[in-house]
Amino acid sequence: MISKKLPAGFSDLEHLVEQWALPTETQRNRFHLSCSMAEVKDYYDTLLSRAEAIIEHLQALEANGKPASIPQESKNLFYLLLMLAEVSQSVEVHGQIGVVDGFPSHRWHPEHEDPDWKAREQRLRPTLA
Amino acid sequence: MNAAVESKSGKRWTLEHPELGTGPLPVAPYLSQKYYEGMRENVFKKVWLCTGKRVDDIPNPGDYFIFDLEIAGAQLIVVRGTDGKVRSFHNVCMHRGNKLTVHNCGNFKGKMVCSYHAWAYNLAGQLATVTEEDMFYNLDKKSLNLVSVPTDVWAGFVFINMDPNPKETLLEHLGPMADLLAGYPFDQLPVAWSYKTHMATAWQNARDSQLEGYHLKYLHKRTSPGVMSHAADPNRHSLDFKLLGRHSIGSYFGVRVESTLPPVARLATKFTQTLGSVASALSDVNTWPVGVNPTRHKDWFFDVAYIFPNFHFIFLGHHAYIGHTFLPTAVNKTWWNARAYMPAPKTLVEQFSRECAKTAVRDLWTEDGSTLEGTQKVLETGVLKYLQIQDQEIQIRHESRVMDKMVGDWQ
Repeated sequence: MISKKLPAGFSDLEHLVEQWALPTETQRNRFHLSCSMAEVKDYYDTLLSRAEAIIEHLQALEANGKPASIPQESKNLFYLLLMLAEVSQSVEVHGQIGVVDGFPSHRWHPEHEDPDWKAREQRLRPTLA
Repeated sequence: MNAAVESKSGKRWTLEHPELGTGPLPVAPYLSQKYYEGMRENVFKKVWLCTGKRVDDIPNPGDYFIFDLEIAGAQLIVVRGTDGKVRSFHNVCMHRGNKLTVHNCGNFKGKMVCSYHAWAYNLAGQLATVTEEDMFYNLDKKSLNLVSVPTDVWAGFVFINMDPNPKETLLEHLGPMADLLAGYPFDQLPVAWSYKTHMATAWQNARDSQLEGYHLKYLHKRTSPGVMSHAADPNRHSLDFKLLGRHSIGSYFGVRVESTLPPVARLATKFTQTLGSVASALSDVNTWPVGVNPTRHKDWFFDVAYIFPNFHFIFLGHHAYIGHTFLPTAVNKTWWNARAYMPAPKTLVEQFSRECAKTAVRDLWTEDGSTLEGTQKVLETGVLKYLQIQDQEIQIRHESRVMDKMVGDWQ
């Protein structure tokens, strides 16, 4: 059972972890596109108000170089921040859920999330989270 | 800003190349199976083609990737040998034609072994082992090496040529482009993200969509708000165009004002380069290759460096670029791979910033993709006979002309 908790000081965001703390872009994008604009705007406002604190927490984790492992609670917090990146597009750019008249998202395949890509990535760039 | 650059905002580029004419372009080649076959025979089976992938994709002996070239009816294995050399072979076992691999990439662990009857080839493509060899009659093993395809590397990018005897070297094909881009730190920049798709549109529609900056101010008004207009000259787009034989470069104006960025986009620019970053402020533009931001303009957005026929760079800075590969798979179908290259994020917060950059560019690309299948359907109705091409779309006019000349008489 993976912890759904967040680091100390972030309990106000804990109710979001179950649905919004998703580890991959594909999962985040699918969930984002399944939400209403009101849900997304609410999430955006909540996370944006805590973004600086989250960034400080993540910076503190790596203040002495890259840790051997990142606690699940901090990973959850990081995934919430990545979800802010995902949904910010709808709020800040499109003014609706997803790209206006865009090419279908499910046909625009993120090759960088394929298993064989990830295996190769180990060599090419550091793996985080 | 110098006056010479300023003066380049007006209608003039096409007039500097009278051979291009100024008239509309016919739609017919975009729809014609005969034209497509001309592209196949005279271009895609004759000239050097960028695979869109780099030697960094296959760093170790035995590492390979697949290059599908459907227009030529070929699937190639591009593999690094024990000697470090990169070679390409048709993905065809010489016994009875089984595919040597069904994966898109991987490692052959010293030799390529067919899964069907375990014939084995070394990484230079030579037939090494025939299982139960004494059961064959007069097997001429020397004639059963894998069928190789000429392969060469420029700036780390792997190119192939379907002509067994290429009429020119890769450097001859690249012409002045190679010198103009020399010194770009390609080898320092890993892939940041990569998307691919199949689209029901003629390859020329996809090509054209990337060869002009005219659309940015309109189609991308949400994803690039205000970037390509300026109070002093609201219709300014281009800083420079260079027509380079078969290839071409377009360099585009753009202003980024941090204070106008929305909150998350602005936050992201603090940690890594994003679409909101002023790339010309991140390093001394005078140290960049002479072909990237060739006018050395501070209000520079990006360059399109088109390498005929199927690949182009979008340079977003000295440490950020995109490699687009467009391949026709049928007269009305196109395969598209868009790969962004940037320094690897070193921290979690940089990775967040990178995620913001990625989602912004991802969504911009789906705006690009939005027009292409609709345009194809419209062209197929036959309502439109000609495409109207303005001065800023000179790269479309040029590349269409290059292709027309190579295809030759097709009607």
